Amino acid sequence: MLSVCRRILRNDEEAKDAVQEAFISAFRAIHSFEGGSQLGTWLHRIAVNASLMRLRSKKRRPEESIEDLLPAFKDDGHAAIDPRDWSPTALQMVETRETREFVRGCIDRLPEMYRVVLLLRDIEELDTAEAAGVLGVSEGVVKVRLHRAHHALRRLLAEHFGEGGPS
Amino acid sequence: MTCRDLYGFLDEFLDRRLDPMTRLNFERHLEVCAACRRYLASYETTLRVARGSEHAEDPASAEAPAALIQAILATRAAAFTRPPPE
Repeated sequence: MLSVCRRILRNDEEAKDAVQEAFISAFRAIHSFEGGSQLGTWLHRIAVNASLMRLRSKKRRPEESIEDLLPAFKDDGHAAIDPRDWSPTALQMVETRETREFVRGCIDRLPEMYRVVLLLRDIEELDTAEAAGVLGVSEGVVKVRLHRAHHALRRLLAEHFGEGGPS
Repeated sequence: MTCRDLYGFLDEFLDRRLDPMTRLNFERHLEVCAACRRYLASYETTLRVARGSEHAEDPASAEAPAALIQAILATRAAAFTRPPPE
């Protein structure tokens, strides 16, 4: 549970507080736990919710515009930048702690609403409906934010691993 | 299908959620567009690298400890069997 809270809050003390709040919520909501579902999954969702509640109460940090990180296209629909496939380099480098920290740093550079959706869907593995539920938005909004988060994160990684110039 | 269209369908393609006709058009574009093949490969790698980086520092077992699970289940069972307060 602490790992989940750390990923969302990116702060050890905040994460520990969120875990405590999650346990309190879990004991209060013990009657609503349906024995058929996995207890671990149930606790995980409570930890996600506790982290999101804390996140909402935190002061927003200055953010980069997502628009600047999205792919650009020419009038004919071709990509404006000739993409490189830097997969072999990235997959090799991600074995090192420094690169993993760099990748997490790139995720943190995403505007909050995109970072959270990426974490919930790709890392915490909530489905679209669950993510929409905990965020209080529609499933369509979750899909759009996730899609944009993927492109933006790819762009940030490409700047590190190498990208070609204009096509 | 243009590169712009293809970029818009990447998540649906990777999740196998494209309808058959769109998937066919997507794959036809990929066959003739090396730039989109490179973008798709690096896009997939982005998702893998993100997952790997976020989970790498997790404890060996991400499951809730067995003792905790037993304690919660016992509390729940006791709550259900306890007579209501008068």
